[in-house]
Amino acid sequence: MENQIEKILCIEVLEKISRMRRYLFSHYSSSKTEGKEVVGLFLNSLNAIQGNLESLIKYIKSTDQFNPYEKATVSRRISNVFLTFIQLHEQLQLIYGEWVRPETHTFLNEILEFFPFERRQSKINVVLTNDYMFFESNLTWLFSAILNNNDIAPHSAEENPTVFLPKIDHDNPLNWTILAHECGHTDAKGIEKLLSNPKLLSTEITGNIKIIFENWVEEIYCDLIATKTLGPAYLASFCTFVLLISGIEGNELSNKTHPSNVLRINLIQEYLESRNIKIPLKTSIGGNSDLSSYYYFMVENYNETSRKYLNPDSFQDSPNIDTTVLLDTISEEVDDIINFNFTLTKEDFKRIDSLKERLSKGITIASFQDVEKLREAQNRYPKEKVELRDLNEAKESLQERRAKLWEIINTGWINKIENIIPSAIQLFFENEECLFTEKMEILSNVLQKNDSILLKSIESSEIFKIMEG
Amino acid sequence: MVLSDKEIVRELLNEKIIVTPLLRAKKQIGSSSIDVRLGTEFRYIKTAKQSHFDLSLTIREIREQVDSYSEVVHMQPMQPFILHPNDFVLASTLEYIQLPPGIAGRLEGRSTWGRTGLQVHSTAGFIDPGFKGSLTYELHNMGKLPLPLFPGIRIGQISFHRMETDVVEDYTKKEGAKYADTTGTKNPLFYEDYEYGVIQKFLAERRK
Repeated sequence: MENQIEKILCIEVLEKISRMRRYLFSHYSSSKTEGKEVVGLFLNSLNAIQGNLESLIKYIKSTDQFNPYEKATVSRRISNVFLTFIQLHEQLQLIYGEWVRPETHTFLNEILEFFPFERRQSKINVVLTNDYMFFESNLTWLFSAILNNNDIAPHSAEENPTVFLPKIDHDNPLNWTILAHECGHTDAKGIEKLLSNPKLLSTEITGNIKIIFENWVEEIYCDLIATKTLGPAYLASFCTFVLLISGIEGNELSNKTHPSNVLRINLIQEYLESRNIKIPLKTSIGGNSDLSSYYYFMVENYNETSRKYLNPDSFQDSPNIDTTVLLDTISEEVDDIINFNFTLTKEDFKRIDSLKERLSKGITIASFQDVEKLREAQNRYPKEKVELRDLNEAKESLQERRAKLWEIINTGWINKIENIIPSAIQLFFENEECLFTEKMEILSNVLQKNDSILLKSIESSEIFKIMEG
Repeated sequence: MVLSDKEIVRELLNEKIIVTPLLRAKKQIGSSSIDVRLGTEFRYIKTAKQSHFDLSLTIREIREQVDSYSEVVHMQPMQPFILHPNDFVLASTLEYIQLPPGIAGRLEGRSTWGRTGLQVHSTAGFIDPGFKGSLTYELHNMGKLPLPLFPGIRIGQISFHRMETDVVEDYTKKEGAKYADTTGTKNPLFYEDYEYGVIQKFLAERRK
């Protein structure tokens, strides 16, 4: 399809707009009239961003396959619109906010359970942030620094690892995958062990380069922790964000704290491939037949444009690294600590398939049936005289099994690329009957329904686990 | 005709009736019903700023009024919602329920909880053929002691009634099906009933 990536990215920005509207509406009610005007200002600004995107969509619709110059221009425009959105998100500090949804804690607890008991944080705080950023910080250090700066001795030395979640993603579990990366930063022992590994850091690396290299190793370690615990869904989430901002400075820049997005995405994809963690799509999309390849090659294709036309100041202090050694060493450590054998088999694919079918019909996916067992029981179940034994056998075959967090999240991502995005592209780029505002309402309803099902599935799966004992 | 266990199982096997997640199929499927559990979302009523529902308001205004009449709380799986004596709260089933066009359902309380004074619905326990979504509990504590309600406990049961024929228009296809396809609770949407428009018109004419 023509200009497919640009169309997908427009839908992604429309999704963000819809999410901010939902956030604003859910935090405003007529009993809080004092905030009405401020909310109104946000809504006006969102309408302006939406109007800008509407023009861009018209342009994309009216143009055949973009040439490289057009591609670079449109990519930059989308990123600019997204950056405007990010700046507006920062102003959410102006309105009344709420605490984090309990499902987020359930999600994080499930991730933490993958860590060995002696290295597991008993609790990680979650804070909603106005920055459109996911990050981790230790609040005790932060507060102590404030007090120390003013010559006030801090009271507590207890650690408070905290992850920060952008406000508009408070009910978007598909993007919570990034929180799994942030959980990796709380594993101080694992990071320390890795940094003392002579395979990674030879004694020749010193000074600033050493500090930079250590930061990068930590980031890649956290990427692989998130990948190991959640599979391709982490790459999907990371790539979506990367694609939206890549029109500004491309994906090949690194800095003192983070290696380039290209390097990170390559290593994640290599890790997934080496462990055969592939979740197949119903049909091949653009030549890609699994979830991670779909996003990996989308970023690759997009990078081709930015490589040619962007010439930003490159980061001079980049360490020279042997990516094979880097990946092997970090992978070993990750495989060693995460007690989860994440090698997908045909059985796993079948499970995901049945969850996909349910989710596309609007059914919660906290559990799945053993389809073969069910078919057998259907055939065996007597048409007329049912004995107690028949009844009990049939009940047994109806017993569902719990869907795990990675299954729920990956199913959510697959549903997004197989159903939600194609329908949205059809709606915004091919449908001439509805007004743009009506289209936005349709998209918002679809997203809201999908989020509700995923949130309920996460919570119900947790209850399932508890009730299993 | 109320379905017996063997017919309920047959409909579940053929995926005509869907109840998911089925955490303990053997325990949940009874002689003539399926037990259903309590979800994590609760919608409680705030009365401090409300005197009554004002039907003379416009739809937009009354929607805002109804929205401000309740507040949603999400409980964590092992965190109980305390329902105090005489309190009323909306909640939902943990399960997603789907009925075929030839079967209606009825939500009832379980005897165990009934004995503590817990009512699971005030009046609307009927489930139309073709319904899809989570069911809403209208929880009311008629007892003398506060009840700690943990998400996941079985507080209700659904019995199934086979129709003489399939319905022509099932619930989800019906105009004005306000409560289908939900995963949680919904506010009362009485203002979406056509009668509300009639009443509004009447009140407007009387004001002239």
